[in-house]
Amino acid sequence: MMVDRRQLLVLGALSAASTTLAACGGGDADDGSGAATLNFAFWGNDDRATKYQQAIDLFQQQNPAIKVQTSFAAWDVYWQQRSTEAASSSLPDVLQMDLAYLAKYARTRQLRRLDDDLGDGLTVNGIDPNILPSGRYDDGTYAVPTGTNAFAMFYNATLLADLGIPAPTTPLTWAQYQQFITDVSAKGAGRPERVYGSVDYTGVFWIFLHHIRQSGKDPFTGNKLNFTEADLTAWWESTAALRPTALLPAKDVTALKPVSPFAKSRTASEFAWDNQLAGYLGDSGGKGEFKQLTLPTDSGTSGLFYKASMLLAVAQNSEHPQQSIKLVDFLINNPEVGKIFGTSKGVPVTQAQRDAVQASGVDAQVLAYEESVKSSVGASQGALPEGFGTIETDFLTIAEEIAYGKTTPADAAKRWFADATDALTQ
Amino acid sequence: MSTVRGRAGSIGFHLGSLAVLVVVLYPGVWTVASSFKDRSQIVGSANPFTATPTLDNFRTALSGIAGISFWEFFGNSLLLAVLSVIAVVVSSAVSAYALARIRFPGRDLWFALMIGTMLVPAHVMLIPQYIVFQKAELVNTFVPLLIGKVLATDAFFVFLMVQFIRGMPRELDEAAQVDGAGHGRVFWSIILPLLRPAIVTSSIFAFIWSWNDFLGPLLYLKKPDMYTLPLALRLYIDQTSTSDYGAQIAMAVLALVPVMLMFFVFQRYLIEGVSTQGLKG
Repeated sequence: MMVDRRQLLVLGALSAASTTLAACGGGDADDGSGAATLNFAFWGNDDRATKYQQAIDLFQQQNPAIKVQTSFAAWDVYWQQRSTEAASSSLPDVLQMDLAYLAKYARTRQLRRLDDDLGDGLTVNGIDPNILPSGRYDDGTYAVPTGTNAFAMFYNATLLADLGIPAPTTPLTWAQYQQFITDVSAKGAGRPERVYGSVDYTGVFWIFLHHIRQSGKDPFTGNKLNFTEADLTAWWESTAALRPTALLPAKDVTALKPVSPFAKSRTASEFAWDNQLAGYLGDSGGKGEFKQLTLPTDSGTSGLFYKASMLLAVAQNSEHPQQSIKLVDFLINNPEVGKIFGTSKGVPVTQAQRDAVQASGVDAQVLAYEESVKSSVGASQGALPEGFGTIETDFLTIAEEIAYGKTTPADAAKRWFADATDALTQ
Repeated sequence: MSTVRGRAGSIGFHLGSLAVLVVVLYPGVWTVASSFKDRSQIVGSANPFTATPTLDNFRTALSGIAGISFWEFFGNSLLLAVLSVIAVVVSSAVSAYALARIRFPGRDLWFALMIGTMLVPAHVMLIPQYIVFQKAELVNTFVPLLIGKVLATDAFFVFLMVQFIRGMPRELDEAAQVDGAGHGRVFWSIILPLLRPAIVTSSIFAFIWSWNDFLGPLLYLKKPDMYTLPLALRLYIDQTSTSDYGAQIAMAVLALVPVMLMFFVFQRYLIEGVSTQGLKG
């Protein structure tokens, strides 16, 4: 599927020549007011695409010299496209970034180091100083957060009222939460479609990480795990007593995938990022009222933090860095953009955009939740270690084996630790 | 006696076949039937049928994504598929004729090399290819997806046709040559008409492969208005926000229609092409 060898050589020579010329000509030389066409890529569905298009139209109105060409794809497709582009140094000028991929792209210097632009072209003083460092890797800033999520314990108020069980209230210890699960599952046993208190929540990596944070530790130090195999064994053993009857069996969870059993009113509570509310409402078909609480804790510390749900980065290979930064600045700070997106990309990081969100329905509930946990959130999570995606998936898979009774927590923890150590040192 | 046993056996065989058929067809039936369900009823239900069928999913699918209509995706897929078929048939037939009938220096080596390309996994060449097309500024055009086909690099099709031509009696070409026909004439008047079954087989495969291709368009088409159907299908699903399985399934069903039509119309040739190709040696 190729051009023949001679043509290839010619192409190679031409392109080498043209890149050299471009470097001499200097894309950097222009002052940001110059005309340019920017490529901007993001992941998301059609709804997000429509919103971005509105925001971009606004940007182009204000900066008629700059044209923005958008491209969007689903999450996994998005990262496949980016990694091929990274291999040929042709990343889009501006790209949506995630904490799990930041380290990979920053380490290989595919992203522009933004430190010199902060305050000079890129206004970030509207961003909470707790959240801004999310875009840091090693010694530099390579991305700017646009929105935040916080973890939450959801419960289905309608379902609980139906079962005649009082809604949980905070503060809640893990033991009290387990009692709640047991109560719901006992009452729900008589239903034609049995209702449970929860799925086996110990299988979700982020809950475990919050649990670690509750003990006052950061789950990662650089590229290393900052917890022990014993911590993990204890965590997986903590629901051993509930597994036989009080937790929704793993096979039922699988049968409903990819929809959450919580959205389908099969369980009364679930842990998730607060913006998941919109997804639950969409999948529930209008049945159920979903409310958020902070996590159960034994230490009094919630372990919560504002996670940058989405970041924006500028590619190192961009020929128009000034214009790209202008676009990032616009997307982060412009109040109209805040109004367009609401909380669909997470709660906006800048006060100006938060104020512009016309809060109603889902937006209002998510905003209220993040406001309510403001006093208890800790330091933000920075770039996740490279390989985070792998260890997270592995965690899920191994925990599922425990849920199916194929392995014991101790063996599982041992295996996960070996795998994770491998994955993180690669 | 024997006929009774024969009939019982035959009934048993057919019942068994039907049972297997139900199992095999179930996923397809589920997909088609689910496209008529309300979107919140689809996932998690093994029963494909619903008491309250709706066309909403098709309405959503046809209304397009982010201002790009369904027909634009459909058009992109169709254009690529049709151009692929033309490119594959023309280039492979000519190349196959050369490799099967013309003696030129190094022919066997070239043939072996061509077969060799089938042994190299496509993924190995993915990134180098991407870099070449990117430097040539051909990303976001259909060129990277078609140029290989124009240049007969789909070794499978060339090989299929070479084997087919080798099975034809040489006396036919020789007779034509005696009458003064050159290679062009022999190819056009003798080989090409006889090659029809192989051409039909290649066309069908080229069409279906192009229609279903995901990785190629994924890498080379970045503008949403250039997306093909397999790419567009993914836009309804987003792990990080809400997903519309109803519209996705409806679009999947719509995307299946041309391939199904193609198959039903040409299946006779498909089987004929493959079996005759295998027989001659």
